[in-house]
Amino acid sequence: MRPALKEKNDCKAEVFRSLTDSTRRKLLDLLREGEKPVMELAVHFKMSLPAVSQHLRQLREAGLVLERRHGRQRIYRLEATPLREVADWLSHFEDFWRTRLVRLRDHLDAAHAKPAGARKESK
Amino acid sequence: MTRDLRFEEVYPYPPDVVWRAITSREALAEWLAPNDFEPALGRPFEFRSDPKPGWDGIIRCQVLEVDPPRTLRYSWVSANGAVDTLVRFTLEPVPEGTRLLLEHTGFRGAKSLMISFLIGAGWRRILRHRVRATVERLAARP
Repeated sequence: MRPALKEKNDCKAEVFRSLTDSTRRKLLDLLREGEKPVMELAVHFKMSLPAVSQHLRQLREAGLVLERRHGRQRIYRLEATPLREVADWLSHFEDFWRTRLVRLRDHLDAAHAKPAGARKESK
Repeated sequence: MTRDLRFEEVYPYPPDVVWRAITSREALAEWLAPNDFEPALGRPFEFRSDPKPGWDGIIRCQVLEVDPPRTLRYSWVSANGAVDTLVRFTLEPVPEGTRLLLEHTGFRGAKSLMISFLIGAGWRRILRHRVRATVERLAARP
């Protein structure tokens, strides 16, 4: 549970880090229209092609874009799921309380001897 | 826009045992978070968890209702006030033991709140305005 939780948080941090950069935000915006080859994306920026590729790589590592190769071209596509997860803020509290309520049950079980016949023999 | 969370659990223990678990500092530290709670009306207290990216880990609370062993209610404020909510525990004796109803209410402002919640001191300034729009726009994409 713990490592998975940590991983999830790290991913979210990665998503936010991606979004701190205006170039990357613009790239995501451009990709909303549909998948595009890197060359077509690069024309919107003053920076070099490798620099744009570097930003795309960061977005890929954050799970925000998917890359496929078509001949010699790299084609990018928006992956909105991580953004939706981050945006669904209430789910954080839901996870928080679900975890805590399981811990409350464990706490009660540990702190008190089994009342005779009052418990299921699960776990 | 307001959304609420409600959880219901039945514990095979009498209400006073469950009440202790939700009002004793030591018990709370074990299952919820380290704290300086005291079941006294009006008393401010804090839960302190490990800081996460974008969150200092501190929840500031104030006891609003104590009715042992039935109702406990406190305010729940974190992320510099971006999360300003209420938590209520209601215990009810049932044949199997105690039914605990947990309500966390008062969430407002939908997605922007999550942004504030996750964004820490360092990022807050940069992200507050520019990112919110991007996230909401992109998240709305089918």
